[in-house]
Amino acid sequence: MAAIELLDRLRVVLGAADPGDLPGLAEAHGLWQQVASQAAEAGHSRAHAAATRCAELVEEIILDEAASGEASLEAVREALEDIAEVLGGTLEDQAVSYPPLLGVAEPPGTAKTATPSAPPPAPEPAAPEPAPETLPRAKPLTLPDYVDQAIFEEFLSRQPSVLADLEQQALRFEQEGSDGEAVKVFRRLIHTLKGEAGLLALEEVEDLCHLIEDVLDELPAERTVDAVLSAVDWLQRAFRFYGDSSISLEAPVLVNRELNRLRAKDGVTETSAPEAMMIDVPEAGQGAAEESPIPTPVGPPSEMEPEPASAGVTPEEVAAVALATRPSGRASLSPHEIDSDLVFTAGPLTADLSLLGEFVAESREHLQAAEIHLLSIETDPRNMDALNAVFRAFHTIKGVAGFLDLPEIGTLAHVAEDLLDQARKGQRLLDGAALDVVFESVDCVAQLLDNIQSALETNSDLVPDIEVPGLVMALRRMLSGQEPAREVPVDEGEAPTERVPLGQALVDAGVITQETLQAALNEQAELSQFVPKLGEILREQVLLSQAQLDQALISQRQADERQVLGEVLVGLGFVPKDAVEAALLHQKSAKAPKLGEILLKQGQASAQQVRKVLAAQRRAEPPRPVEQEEAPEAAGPRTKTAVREPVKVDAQRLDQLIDMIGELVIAESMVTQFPGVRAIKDARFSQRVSLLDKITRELQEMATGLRMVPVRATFQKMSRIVRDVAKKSGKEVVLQTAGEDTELDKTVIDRIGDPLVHMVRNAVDHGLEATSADRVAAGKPATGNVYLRAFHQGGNIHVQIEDDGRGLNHDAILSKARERGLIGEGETLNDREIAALIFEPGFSTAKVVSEISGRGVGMDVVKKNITDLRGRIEIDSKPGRGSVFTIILPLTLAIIDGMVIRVGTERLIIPTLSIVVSLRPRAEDLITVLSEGEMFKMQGMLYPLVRVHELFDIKEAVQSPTEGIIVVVEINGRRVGLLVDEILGQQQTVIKSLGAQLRGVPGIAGGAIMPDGRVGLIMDVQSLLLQQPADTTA
Amino acid sequence: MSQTGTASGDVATRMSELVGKYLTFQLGSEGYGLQILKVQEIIGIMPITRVPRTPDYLRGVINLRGKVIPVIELRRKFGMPPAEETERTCIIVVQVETDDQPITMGILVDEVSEVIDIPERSLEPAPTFGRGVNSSFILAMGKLEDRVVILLDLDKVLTAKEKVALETAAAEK
Repeated sequence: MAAIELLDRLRVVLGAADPGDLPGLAEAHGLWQQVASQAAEAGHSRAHAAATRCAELVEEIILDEAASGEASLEAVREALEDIAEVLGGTLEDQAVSYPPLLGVAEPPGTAKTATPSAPPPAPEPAAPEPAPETLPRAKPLTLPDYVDQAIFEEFLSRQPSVLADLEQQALRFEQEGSDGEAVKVFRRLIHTLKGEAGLLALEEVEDLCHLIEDVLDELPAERTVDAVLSAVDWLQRAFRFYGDSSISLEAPVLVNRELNRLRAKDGVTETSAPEAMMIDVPEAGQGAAEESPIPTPVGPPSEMEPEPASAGVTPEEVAAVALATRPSGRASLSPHEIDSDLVFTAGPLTADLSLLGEFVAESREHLQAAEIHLLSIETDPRNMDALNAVFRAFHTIKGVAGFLDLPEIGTLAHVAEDLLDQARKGQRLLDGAALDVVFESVDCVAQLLDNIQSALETNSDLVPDIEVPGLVMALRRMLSGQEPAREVPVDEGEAPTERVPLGQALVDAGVITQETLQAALNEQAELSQFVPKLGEILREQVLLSQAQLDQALISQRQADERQVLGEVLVGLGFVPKDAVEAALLHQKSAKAPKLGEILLKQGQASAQQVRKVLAAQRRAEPPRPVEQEEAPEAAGPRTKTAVREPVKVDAQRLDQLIDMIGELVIAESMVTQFPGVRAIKDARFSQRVSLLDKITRELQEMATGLRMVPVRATFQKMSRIVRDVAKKSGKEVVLQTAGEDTELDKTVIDRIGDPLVHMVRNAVDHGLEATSADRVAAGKPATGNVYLRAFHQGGNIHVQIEDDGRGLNHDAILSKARERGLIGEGETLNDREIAALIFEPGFSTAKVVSEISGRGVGMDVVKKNITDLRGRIEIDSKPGRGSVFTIILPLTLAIIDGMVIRVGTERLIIPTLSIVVSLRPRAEDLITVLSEGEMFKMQGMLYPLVRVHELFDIKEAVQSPTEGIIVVVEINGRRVGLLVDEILGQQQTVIKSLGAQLRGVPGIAGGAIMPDGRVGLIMDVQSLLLQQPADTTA
Repeated sequence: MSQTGTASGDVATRMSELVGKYLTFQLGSEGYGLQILKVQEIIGIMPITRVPRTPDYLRGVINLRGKVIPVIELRRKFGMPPAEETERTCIIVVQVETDDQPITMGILVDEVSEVIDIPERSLEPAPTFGRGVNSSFILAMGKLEDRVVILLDLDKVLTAKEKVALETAAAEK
């Protein structure tokens, strides 16, 4: 929709809306969001902020969280006109002053302060703060060249679960504090995320993660939860934004500020210098620092200042802070600080020993790969693939070392990583001294790994290596741009004037002996004999038949211009291009290694030595471009790391598969039920048919199982909701969950989330007593309990939300219902019927019934959602003892348990879920009311009778109820009898939509394929009951 | 009729767009044509499940290889008397564009004739008068050597307006 249309529609909607008009408000909410994104696109940042805020205000009204719905609406209406003028171009974006409730900062020209006069309540603690200023936009997504789109998509697709996990861990460490397992897990996750974000050049994400790490390092974890959670929220929005750039996203300024504020506050209260210094200790170093609180600092403590950026943060400084906390920001440190955090103490290995062993082995592999890549960086310092590979190696080592409490390796790898990061981002060239230091780091890490191994083997303490501090300091100086005052490893003077072969040079330099060289050369020659030919590789991979290969070779020979075999194969269409490329890579990797590599592997020469000689060698000849064959080597490790994940399938393709299996099942039964086929009287044939049948059934079962997902993730989200609502309402609440592994159809899970959020929020906010004093007065423990359970019962899934609060106030509900004319004066209702009243649209939005105010807000929406899922809600509430809301859902949306009934010539299906009983009435049980409506008596109660044949206009059906069957169905405690001819049986059927045109047909929920291949119609009992009064009085 | 007021030049361009292949079928004595690209397949008559509370031209729903699709009885839609089902009666499965998404539906016809090429010179704009037929869903008339076929604009056979009518008709019933 164009902006003008959007605004016009908004005028109409808002003009008619009142705080109780939920559908109208919902539409307005959506429209505002669209307006906001259009304003953002047009570059009107303040209009964008205002529109975003309007959407939030509308949401608050919907959720009944607004201080005054009317006031909010008024502000929104007012803002609409202003925004319309901005978008229409008649007003400058900066010139508008928006209603104070919106909290949009005054334009710079006006003198007033930007503080809103009546700060609106935040929609909920988790949501972003109402924008008190125009926030800068988040950086648009620009993927670096070396990142494949597919890899990025895969990264994005993984994030929702990572974020859910992060949130979960944050909630856990709020309880456990810094010592618990949760902080470690959280750190590891954030750390991985930081690394990945770094690789993908998502700078804002990377910085934010870095900041979170810092905050967690410095502060007790439980104090960081609020800030960390809002950071996670921002990340959530950020990943959505990266996936769909049409969504607007602000830069994480507010979140960064919140985190920095925490740090700043801490800096004020805790003046002891070592603490403040911890800022600069990479997380890997923390373990040791904690164990030895006073590690004989080199510099006097008084000289140490907290990192400037973290102290006294003003909003203006935020951008600068964000910059300063970048890894490279570490550069501005004084030597004192560096030294003190590099004092490592000897101590026993604390981590799991088997993990340590694994770490040593893995890290050696990483180092080996890093060395080889460093050699190719030597020849081409701009080789991005190689740089990334080395970076990844250090990065991984650093991460695991941090986790395993190995401060030495962690610190070293961290600084090395930072240096490589600069190179990767093109901020420096990794050559000369810088490259030397990296090589040294590789050697040093290798040495440290050896130390760990010997400590492991001799079961002794790990003694710090004296080389590490110096090296780290050299790296840090390098990072800060000061080239080290160290000798350049290879003197110009030493450089040979003409090109000497590597081996000879090494011998000359005294690194290796002539014999070693000869052995290495022999090995090289030997290895090169085994390089397979392209055709052989493809044959091995069964991508090519021998005949095809022969043909290709012949045509290659016959061709006028000689072509490469790969090209010929692709040209003939035998093998796809990718396969040839892959095979060529394979061939390259199988090629004989270079001499240097062999020597490295044999341990005859260190990488450094080889490198020096190579450097000297190269100086003797003109620089040449990197050979093409270097690239595949560099690309090698990437493919190696990518395959560990389980296969992820696009949901749409999964649905298609399930649909196809459904069709297969039907086709199969149509074949096996075919009269001609059934007439075949051959034992072997029927054996095969029954095998086919069995396989088909199993396939069907698997297909249904494919869509089943445990409710765990949804439940985990609820703990966050409970926390937020409890905090906001100042209550102490414990959420206890059970049955997280219960599986539900993915669609059901996706759609049950919102209703659950609503009900859980209600349970905490309105279900539980207002204060713990009230609870104690009622003889309950001060802490409120909310239970969330999921379990199977009778072929359905039950999801229960229980609170031990006040329970529903039946009298209040009744009087309110009478007031609104929902029930007559004299009418009496049972408890369930009373509870069901809260599902009436807008029932409690009016604030008369304070006791249950809010209990029914949006409950009609909740109920509609559940009903759409073919489920129902039952309420069981005891005044003073609490309420239980039970959502009863079908196992899957695709299959329905139904009773097949016949009316006249037509077959219909009634969902078994809603059937109470079926009976054949006696004549005396039937009563006619006002000679129009019919009733029947069952167990002393009277229920209305609906004649299905009249409802559906079916001829030749049983007219007298005494000759037919009454199927009694119940929805929400209301019972109605349906008159049908007979019951044919029970059946599980796959429910099918009748298509777009027939969606609205009253009384019909959908179609089902019957065993004979015809379509049967599934009755929609709910809608039958809804229109029942109209039918009987007509 | 929206096309009536358009200038003749527009009509000409519109007509040239309609040149192409058509599947022709019979309803009683009248010949009709459908743009071949809209046609998915032709299937023989099969048991159709009536859907209560829907307009009478909606004959019901069928199971097309596991998918439930509605079947429109064109005779009733065009106000013609219903005909006996014969072995030539068949259902043309078509893809129709609606406001939101393409839908598959079947149309019940007396018999399918052939696929013909209609050149521009044989096309004539839809008549502005109806013969008991709401002519808004006529694309054009195709004059063949021996007969005239009515080329249908399937997307309009079941328009949004009629969908609403369908729902209200169902609700009133």
